[in-house]
Amino acid sequence: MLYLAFRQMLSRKKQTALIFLGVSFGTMIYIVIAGLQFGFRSYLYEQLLNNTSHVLITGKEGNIVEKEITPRFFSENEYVRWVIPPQGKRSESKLENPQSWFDRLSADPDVVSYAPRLTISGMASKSRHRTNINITGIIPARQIKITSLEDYMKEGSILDLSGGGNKLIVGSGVLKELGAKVGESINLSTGLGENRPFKIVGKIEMGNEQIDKVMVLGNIRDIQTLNRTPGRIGEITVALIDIDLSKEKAERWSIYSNDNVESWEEANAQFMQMITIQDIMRLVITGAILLVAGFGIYNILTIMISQKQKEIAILRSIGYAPDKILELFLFQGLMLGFGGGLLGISLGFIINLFMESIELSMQIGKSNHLPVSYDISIYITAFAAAQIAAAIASYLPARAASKLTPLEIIRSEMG
Amino acid sequence: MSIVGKQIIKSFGDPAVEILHGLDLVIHDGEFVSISGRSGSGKSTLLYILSTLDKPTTGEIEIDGLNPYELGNNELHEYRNRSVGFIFQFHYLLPELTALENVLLGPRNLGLQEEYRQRAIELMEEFEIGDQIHKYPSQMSGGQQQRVAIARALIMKPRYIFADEPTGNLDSITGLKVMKFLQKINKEDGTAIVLVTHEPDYASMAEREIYLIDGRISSREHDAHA
Repeated sequence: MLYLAFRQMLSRKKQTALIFLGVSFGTMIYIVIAGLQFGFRSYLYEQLLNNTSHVLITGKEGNIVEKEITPRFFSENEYVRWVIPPQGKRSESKLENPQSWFDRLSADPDVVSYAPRLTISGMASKSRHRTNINITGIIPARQIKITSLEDYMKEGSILDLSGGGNKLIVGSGVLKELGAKVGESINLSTGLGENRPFKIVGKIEMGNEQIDKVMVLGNIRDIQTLNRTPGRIGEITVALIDIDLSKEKAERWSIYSNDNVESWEEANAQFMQMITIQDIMRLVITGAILLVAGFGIYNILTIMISQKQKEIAILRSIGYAPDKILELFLFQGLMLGFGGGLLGISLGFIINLFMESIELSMQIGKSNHLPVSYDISIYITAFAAAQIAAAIASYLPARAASKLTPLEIIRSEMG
Repeated sequence: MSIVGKQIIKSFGDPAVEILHGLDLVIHDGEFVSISGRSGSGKSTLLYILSTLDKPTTGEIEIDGLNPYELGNNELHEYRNRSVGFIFQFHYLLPELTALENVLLGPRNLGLQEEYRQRAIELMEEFEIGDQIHKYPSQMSGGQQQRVAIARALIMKPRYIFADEPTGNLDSITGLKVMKFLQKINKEDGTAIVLVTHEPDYASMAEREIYLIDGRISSREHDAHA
């Protein structure tokens, strides 16, 4: 029946071409939108994971709250309404017992690696220029195991911070603000009254201006000293073997301690919401296009079947079983879906290549090109969606055609 | 070897209107039978019942002693494919296929189109449309199209040909030609032909004529050999 189906399609070139293009267009749009979305997403994921990794363990800030103070001064039965509620901060954010975390994480088979960090705010200055910065103290050898920071190094290496010695890797934006370059020294201060000189040994550029303007990395020991908090760990970033385990792990670990344990999805809840909205938009747009293409297939086959009743009658009287009539029309829909799907993924791929080749005036991640994903799952999804739309759209009229009996048709033809 | 109809009653609609009133008849192998009568007398209805395209409301059809409606779907389609050929008033050729491809539709259903290709060409040459084999129906005259339809009905060497007004849409010269073809097939190949026609001249070209009046076989039924 494939042969007959093919011949029938060829005899209606315009209609066939129109539907073919409809299916192709739907498939192509999905690939272009998904390619760009997933490309941007993996860029953003990388940016986020550089900051939070899979699981982020942070200390709780020691804030003084009304609930804790009231029972210390009044009995339980008394109703207390503070005119000026107690307010204040007992301590800065720090992990209560970092060593127990190190022991636990080292023993966990799901953990690839972990890296303790201390992030503080401060100010960098060089001669008359100064700028606000975020200083992150890291253990270089550990940090490069769980993030791809090394890939963003424009000069020097993360490992240049090993061993301490008041060395810094500085964001390109910070260098610009200060008019400094690698090899020169700048002064850091945390607002505690003392300026300390640090030598710039590397330049990093994350491709995000907001980050590059404040990012400064140093050895954790140097930063602890600068902050006058020896031994303090602000947070531990953890990389897991399987990123999908992050939520489950974070929930389990949070039972062990008062520290905050967040999976990267929780830490970036807004970002995850945005991704969900993107997904919905992509599916709605593509679904609408494929629906239109599907209706096209449905309408054309329905019209064709009503025009081809005489031929159906003769085929049935010759001995073509209802299943073969179903095949005749189903194959046409499936061929349109298959051909349209193939053309669509080819066009989508070519358009994505073109989009990626455009040189932008801004830096996105490591390059100045649009990040485009060529993940095979995008192409499989697009192709499968085209096939499913075509199969449903052609099955319904094909089934109706297969149920026609030759005599019904002949009688209606005879009037 | 025959098709036997026993007490065939066929009614349509609600309330039921009886079109055929308890007909008994036999179509023998190799016979040329015409069924004629006025419009509405039930001749096409009888043809479709004998050919298994339609079921009687009551009564039975036996083909070689078997009730076709007790056969499985596959056997019934196989029977229609191999043993029966249909010729309709309208040729019902598939417009997207050439004349030769139309003739080979039956064998194609069984995957035998290559084996039957030579026979199809011979049949078409015999019907004087050998030069039309690669033409599409729209490029042929009505008479040529009907001859393609006859070749299509004959390609599988069926035992029975059921023809419903095959000349109804043709001019008298072409119509006569078609009738001569049917006679030739009947004589030379021994194919039984059941022909529905309202043309008395064509009806009388059959060996046996069944004349229907209001769904009953009239006493005018005669055997040409008698």
